Amino acid sequence: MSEVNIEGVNSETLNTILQINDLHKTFVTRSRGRKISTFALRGISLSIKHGEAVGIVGESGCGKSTLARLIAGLESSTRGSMLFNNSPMKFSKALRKKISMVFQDPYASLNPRMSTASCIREPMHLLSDEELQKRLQKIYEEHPEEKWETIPRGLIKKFFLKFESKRALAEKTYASNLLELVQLRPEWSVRYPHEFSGGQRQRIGIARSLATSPELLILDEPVSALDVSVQAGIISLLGKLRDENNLTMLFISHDLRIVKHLCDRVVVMYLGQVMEDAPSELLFSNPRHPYTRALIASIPKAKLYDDIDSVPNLDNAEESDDDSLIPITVLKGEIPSPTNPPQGCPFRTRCEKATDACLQQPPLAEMTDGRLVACHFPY
Amino acid sequence: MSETVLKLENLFVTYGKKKRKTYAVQDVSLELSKGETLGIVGESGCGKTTVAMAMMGLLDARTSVEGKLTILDKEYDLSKMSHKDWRKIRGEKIAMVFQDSLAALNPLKRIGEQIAEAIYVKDKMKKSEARERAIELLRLVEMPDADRRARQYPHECSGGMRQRAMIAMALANEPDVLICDEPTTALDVTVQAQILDLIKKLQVKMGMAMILVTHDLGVVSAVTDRVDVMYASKIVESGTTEHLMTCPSHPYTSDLLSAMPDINAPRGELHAIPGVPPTLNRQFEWCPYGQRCKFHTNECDEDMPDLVQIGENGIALCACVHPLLKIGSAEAR
Repeated sequence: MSEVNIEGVNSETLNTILQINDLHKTFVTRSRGRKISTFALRGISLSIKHGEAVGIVGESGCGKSTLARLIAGLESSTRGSMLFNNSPMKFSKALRKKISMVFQDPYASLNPRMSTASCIREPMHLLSDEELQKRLQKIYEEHPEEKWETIPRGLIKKFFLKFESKRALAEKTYASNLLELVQLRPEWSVRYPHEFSGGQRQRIGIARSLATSPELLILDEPVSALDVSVQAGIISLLGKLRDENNLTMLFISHDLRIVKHLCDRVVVMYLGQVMEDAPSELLFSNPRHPYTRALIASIPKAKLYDDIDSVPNLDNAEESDDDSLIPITVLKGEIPSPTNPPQGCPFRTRCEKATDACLQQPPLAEMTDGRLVACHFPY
Repeated sequence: MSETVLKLENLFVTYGKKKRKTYAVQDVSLELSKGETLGIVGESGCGKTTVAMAMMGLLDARTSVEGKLTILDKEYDLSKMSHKDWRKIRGEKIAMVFQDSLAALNPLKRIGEQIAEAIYVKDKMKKSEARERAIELLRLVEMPDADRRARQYPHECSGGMRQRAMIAMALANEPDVLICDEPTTALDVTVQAQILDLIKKLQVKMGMAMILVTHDLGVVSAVTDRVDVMYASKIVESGTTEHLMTCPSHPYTSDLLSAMPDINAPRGELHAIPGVPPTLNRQFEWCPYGQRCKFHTNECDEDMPDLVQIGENGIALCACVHPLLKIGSAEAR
C-alpha cells in the first residue's frame, strides 16, 4: 500500500509512518464565567512504523480518543508536532486520503439516508481517475472471471450526477469489491443502514475507511458496541485485512483482551500521558508499570482453567470458601479529573509503590528490554 | 442444596399484539438458593433483561406476563399481580441494580435523598433518621467521602460512584434477592473490578441471593456460582460456573466461549458465530440455535429440545439434541 519501499530501507526514520512529539491538547470550557481547562493530552510521544498494528489502551477519560481525533485531523493540537511520513502534518486532500478512521458507534457513524454504495463511494472523490483506474485494474487482474458491469447501479444517480457515468461505474465496481473484502454481499450495496445489523454496519464503516486505500487506519473502539459473537468476526476481519494489505493500524480500545489479539505493540495511556509502550507479548507477559499491572489484573478471566483435568472436584465445590472464586484484583480509587491532574506522576494517587519521589514527573525511559516505561519504580 | 429463596416457573413474556407479537421470554424457569449467585448470560436481545424486569414487575401493562414466582415459600401468580402486590415485594424481597446509572437515578434529587426515600417509604421512619441511614448505607458500599456525596446530585459523581449509590439504594430494605442487571457494563475495567468485589463482599455479609444479568462471560466466571445461558428467549444451558466454563454441553455456550478473546490465551483466531439470532415472532417448536449451529441435523428442526440432565451427577441442564460430550467440547474449542 505504501509508496515507500520498506524492504531494503534500513533507516529508522524512513520506516516511520507517524511520529508524534510532545503532543498537548487542552480543551477550554466556560462555566459561570470562569475558564476551565481540561488537559486531555499532556505530552504524548509516539512513533508508528509502516505495517505495524499499535493498540492504545486506557480507562475512559485518559485521552485515547482525543489522540485519535488529533491524528485524523478532526481536532487541532494545542502544542507539539506530528510528522506523517517525515513531513509535518497539514490536513490537505492528499493527506486525508492516507489517513482514515473507523468510528465507535456503527449506529451513529453511517448516514441513514445514504445507501451502502453511496456511503462507501463518498470518500472516493479524493481519488483521481488514474488512481481509481489503477485500483480497478488490480481487481480485474485478481478476479478476471467476474463481470463487474453487471453489478447493480443503485439509486445514486442524482447525487453523483457531476461525475462522468464512466467514473460512477468505476466507483460502483470498486465499492462492490470493497464490500466483498469486508465479507458482505455486493448486492447489498443498494440497501440502507437500517437494514443491517450492528456487525454488518461496522463492516460497512470499515469498507468506507478502506475506500481510499489509506496508509494509516485509525480504529476508535470499533467493537465495543457489538456483542461478543459479532465482535469476534470483526476482529478476525481486521486481522485478515492487516495481514493481507500490510495496513498500518492504530487500534484504540479499553478492552485489553482484544488489543492483545490484534496488536503488535501496545501503548498504555493514563490521564493524557503514556505510561508504558511495549511490544504486545512483553507487555502482557511481564507488565513493568504499576498501572499496566493493575489494568491487566482487573480483567475478569473467562476461562478459569486451561483443561478439564485441572477443574477442582465439583462435589467439594460448595465447601470451598467463596473468596477463592474471585480472581480479580482491585485497584483503589478512580481516575482523577483531567481538569485538575495530580502533580508529578499521574498514577501516584492510586499507586501502591508511590513515594515522595513520585511528585517529580518520571520520564518515559527506555528499559533494558527496549520498552518505554514512565515510572520511577518499575517492576 | 440449601433452602430455595426464589423460584421462577414457566415464565412467558410477550410484547405487542396480534401480528406484531414478540415472544421475548419463552418458558424460563430458574431457582436460587440462599447465598447463591446465579448468572444469566446471553447476547443482546435474548431476553435476559426481560426476565429480570418480569421478576421485579417492572414491565409495562401492555406486556403479557405469565408464570409463577415463589419467594420464601410465598407464591405469586405473575399474571394477576397488582401494583399494590408488587410494592410489598419490591425493595424488601427483591431489589434491583440497573444498568445505566445516569438514567436510573433521578437527576433532580440529591443522592442521599434518593436513598432515604427508599427507606422512609417502607419503614415509616422520620426523614431525618432515614437520611442518617442513607449515609450509613453509602459508607457500607464504600463510597468515598459519604457525607459530602450524599448531598450531591447524580451528575456530579463518576460512573463508579453512581453505581455504588444504586447498590446502596437496592440494599436499603435488606432484600432477600438482589438482581444486578449489567451492573458494570458502562464502567472501566478497574472500576468494574471494584464494583464486582463490592457486590461479592456485600452478598456474603448480608447473606443475600443474587442474580447477575450480563453479557460478559469474564464477569460471570469471576462472580457467579451457577450460570443460565439464554439464547433467543429460552434457557439453553444451566449449570455450575466451573462446568460451563470448562466443558459446556450446549454448542451455543461452547461457541460463545470460543468467540471471546481471553487475556491468558495465546494470540490466535477468534471464532465468530455465523448468522444472527432468529426473530422472536413465534413460539419455537425447533431448536432456536439450529441454523447457526455447526452440529445442525434434521432432528434439530423437528422438535424443541427440553432442558435435560447432562451427565450422572446432574450438574448441568442442557437443551440440545446432540449435547457435546466432554471430549467433543474440547475439540470444538
